[in-house]
Amino acid sequence: MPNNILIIDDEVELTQILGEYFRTKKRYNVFTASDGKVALNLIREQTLELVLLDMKLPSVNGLEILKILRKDYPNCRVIVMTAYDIDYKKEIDLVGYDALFIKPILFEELKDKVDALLTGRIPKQSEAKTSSQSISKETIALLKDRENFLPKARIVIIEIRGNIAMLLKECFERAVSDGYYNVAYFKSGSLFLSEITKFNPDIILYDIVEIGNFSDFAQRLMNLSNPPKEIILFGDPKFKWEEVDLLVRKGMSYIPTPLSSPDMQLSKYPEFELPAKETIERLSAVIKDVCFKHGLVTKKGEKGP
Amino acid sequence: MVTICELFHNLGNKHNIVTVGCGATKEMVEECLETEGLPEALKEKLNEIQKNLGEIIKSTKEADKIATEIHDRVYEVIDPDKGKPK
Repeated sequence: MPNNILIIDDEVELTQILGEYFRTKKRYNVFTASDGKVALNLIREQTLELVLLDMKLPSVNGLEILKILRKDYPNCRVIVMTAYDIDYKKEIDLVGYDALFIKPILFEELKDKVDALLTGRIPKQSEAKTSSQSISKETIALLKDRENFLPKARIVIIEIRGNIAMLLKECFERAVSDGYYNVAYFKSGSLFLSEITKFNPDIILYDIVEIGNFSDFAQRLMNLSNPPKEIILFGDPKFKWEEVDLLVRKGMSYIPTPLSSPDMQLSKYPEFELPAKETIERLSAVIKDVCFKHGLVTKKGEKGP
Repeated sequence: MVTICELFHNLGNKHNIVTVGCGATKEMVEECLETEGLPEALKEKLNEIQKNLGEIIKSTKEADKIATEIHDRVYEVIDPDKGKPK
C-alpha cells in the first residue's frame, strides 16, 4: 500500500518539484501545501505516514504544525526543512522530529532519508523517545546518585592514525576508577564493519579525517539489528570542516580535538600535559555523559564489562 | 519593501530550489540511464546532463556558503528587521 506523504513549503516551485518526483514512485501518495492552514486541513483529513515540513509558512507557522503533529499524530514521521538563520532551533529540538535538513538541501540525501524512514530502517523518533524514557526511568535514581555509579560501555574508536585512539584506550583501560570501558580501535569503519559489528559497541568515536566514508558507514550501522547508541565525531576542526559542518547542522555530535600529533603517546605525556590532557578530558566527559544518558552504568564495586 | 531578513531568506529558498530541482532531475536522468537498449549517443548525452547538473548543485552550494558569510557580516552591523545600522 502506498505511503501518504505531505510536502509543506511556502515555495510552490519546491513542493511541485518534490511532489512530481515522489509521484513518479508508485509507493507514494503525495499531497502538497504552501500554506499552514491548508496543511493542517490535509493533516486532519488524510492518514499521513510522513510530512516534509518547512518552518516559515503563511497563516500557521511550521513550529505550530510540528507541535500538532507530535501531539496528535505520533505515528507520522516528520522531516523538518529549514533555513540556516533559524532562530527557534531549540524549540524545534524540544518538540522533536525524525530528521532535520538545513537549506539548501541535497535531494539525494533527502530522498534517502524519506526511503529510510518509510521502510522502517530508521526507528521512529517517538519510539526512540519512549525507549530512552524507559531507560531514563530506570536511571533516574542512578542520575540522582551519580557518584555511586560508574559508566560502563563498549567503545569503538575509528581513527586512521590511531594516535588519539591509543591514548584514549590506554587511559580508559588504566584509569578504571573513572569507568569500565572496553575499547577497540580500527583504522577504518567501512573496511572493518564485520569486526566492529562483532564487538557490538555502545558508542562509536569517529575521526573526521575519515569523514568521506562516514555516510556509508553510518547507514550500514543503522541497518544493524543492534546499532550503537551513539556515534560521535571527533578531530581537528581544520580538517574537512565543510563535510563535518553539514553533519553537525543535521544534529551529529562533534568534539573538536585540536591537536593530534602523529607521535602522541601516553608515555610521552606522563603528566597529561596540554593539549593531550584537554583532548582526553573532553572525550572522556562526553563519553561519560552519553553513558549516563543511555543507562550504560554500573554500581561502584560491581564488575565492568 | 522587504526586510534584509526576508531578502536572505528568499535567496536561501532560491538556492534550495536549485539544489533540490537539479537533484531530482539528476535522479530521473539516472533512472533513464538504467533503461535497457539505450543508444550510446543518448547515453553519452544523459551522462553529460548528469555531470552538468552535479556542477550546478556544487556551485549553488558554494554560492549559498558565500551568501551565508555575507549574511553573518551584514547581521553584525545592520539590524536585519529595521534595515538600519545597529
